[in-house]
Amino acid sequence: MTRSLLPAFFPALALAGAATPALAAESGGGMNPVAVTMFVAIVLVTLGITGWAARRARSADQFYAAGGQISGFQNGIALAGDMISAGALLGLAGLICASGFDGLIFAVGYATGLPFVVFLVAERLRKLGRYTVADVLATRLSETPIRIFTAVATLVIVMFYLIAQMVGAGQLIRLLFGLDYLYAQVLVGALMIVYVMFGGMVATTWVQIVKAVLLLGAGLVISVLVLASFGFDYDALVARAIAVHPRHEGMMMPQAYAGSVWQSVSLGMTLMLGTAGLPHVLMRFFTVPDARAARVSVFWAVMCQSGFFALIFVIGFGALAIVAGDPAYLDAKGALRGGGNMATIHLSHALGGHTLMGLVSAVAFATILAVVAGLTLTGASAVSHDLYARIIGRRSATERSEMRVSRLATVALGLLSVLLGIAFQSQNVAYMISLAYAVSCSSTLPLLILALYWRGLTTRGAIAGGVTGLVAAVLLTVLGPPVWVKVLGNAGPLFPLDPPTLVTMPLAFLTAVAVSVMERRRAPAAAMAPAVPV
Amino acid sequence: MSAERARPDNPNDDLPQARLGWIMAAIQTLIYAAFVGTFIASPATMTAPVAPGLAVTVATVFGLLVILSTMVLTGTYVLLANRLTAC
Repeated sequence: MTRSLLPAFFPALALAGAATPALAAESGGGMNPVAVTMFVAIVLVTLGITGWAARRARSADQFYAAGGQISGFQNGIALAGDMISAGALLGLAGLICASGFDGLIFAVGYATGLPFVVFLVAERLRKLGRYTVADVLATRLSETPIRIFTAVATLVIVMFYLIAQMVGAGQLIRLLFGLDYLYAQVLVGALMIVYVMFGGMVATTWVQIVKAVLLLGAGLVISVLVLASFGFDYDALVARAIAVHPRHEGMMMPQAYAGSVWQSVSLGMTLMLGTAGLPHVLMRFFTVPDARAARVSVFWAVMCQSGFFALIFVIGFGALAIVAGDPAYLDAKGALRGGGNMATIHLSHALGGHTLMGLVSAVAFATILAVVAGLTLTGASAVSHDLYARIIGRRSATERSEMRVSRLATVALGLLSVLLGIAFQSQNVAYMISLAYAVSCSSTLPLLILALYWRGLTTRGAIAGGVTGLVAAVLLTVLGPPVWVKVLGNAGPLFPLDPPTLVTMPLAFLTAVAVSVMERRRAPAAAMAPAVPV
Repeated sequence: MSAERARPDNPNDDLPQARLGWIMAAIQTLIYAAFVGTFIASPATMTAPVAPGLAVTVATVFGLLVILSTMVLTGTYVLLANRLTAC
């Protein structure tokens, strides 16, 4: 198996597909009245929620953490919403159409991420933190350097994620609603700024809840309809999918695991552990009133997200069996019209005509809005809470000025993501999600685990490990298959693993531990962590 | 040195549910590693039909069971952790 045969990893969450604007008109996307009605309804409902939330989001506590007043069940649904982005609904089914079982590898891997957070990270995080991940690290380590580093790492992860979502959103909205890419960017950017700036965490959470319920509902309806069209015989569905796929039985072997062992291990590891370092997911644990509510919320979150990933086993094979075998949905070359991300949309059209297709399109749009709003809030919090309130304006900052900075940061991040969305318009941005996960696994996660579980960690060790991991993850992703080969067009990668986690995560851990131990040996008393009980 | 000895790196000393968390994380990792590991070690096992004459493969069922395990393990953890912290 040569490397060029390996599928593009992490296409699942990045919505970048080769989009053709012609499709919108051809399949009725541009004029679909159901899609437009639903789309307008979603925008109105979410703006209504924002207006209601704006009256409550006056204090910093409200803005960052919804005053800790989100109930466990509500937070659980919102957390599940964070986990299942539009990429999970659209990208995974597209990946199954293209390369078979690979899509399910991602579904299984992502499903194991959240339980890991629950078992090892969530409760300690809650116990120590207030609004952001940096709060947790700052209780153990010297505040200024650790906040700067964590804020930078948070912004890096958020920006990579945001670019992927914005480019995907632009292409998707152009396809679904026939809207120009530029307008789509401005529309998404404007809405996310309004949600976050006026509604803070309260609005962001409720937008996420609305979206998660819609997404789960849509997934369930599609799955039941798929099974119904095969007489509720799952084996018949799989048999048909195998018959349709050009590699037939071969497609049941994921190409992601057909390469080197190291590659497979690195990918498997990243899928499971990446979630535990994603700042927008971790931030959700500060919105509930107590540890018990946090546990109730993770229970519901895991039920919803895992249930959804299980539905992908039906939706993905359904898209392959029903859509990929139907010439009406294929272009001249036999590929899906509008690219892989359209698989679920085509499937909903095949199952329920323009009505279901309109509904699913609008749900996909709501999903993008909810995810970008959550990302923007997390990025803005890193700027206003970690960089401004605790460092730059440590002496002068008031809650009012902190809120003002957070709103300014929201506008700035919104504008920046629109600009980057336009700049990266015609590029394959699938590697951005790969980068976000690699950076998460190699910088925020090692620091968090060490800070929560190892008292020997020193500030210098944490910074050294975090910076090493972050730089290595970015560098090796650039030199690896996702950028060096797929974007820059070189024949072979300089570094073989995609994602590079298998190398970069241990590297970050080792650097942090080695530097901490050396520092302690030199000046044991001075390097002692503050005696805060962990 | 003695100061470090006095505060051993024991993750179970503060939260009663910490040990439970480690056990659950270990079980989850093992289940997922078994899924990935079997694909690496013996692809033929994973791509074989789950029963003669069926199209559904071992990996399909295994994958669904891994997803089911995330629900069962989280449910068990929440139940036990709530009980541990109640008293």
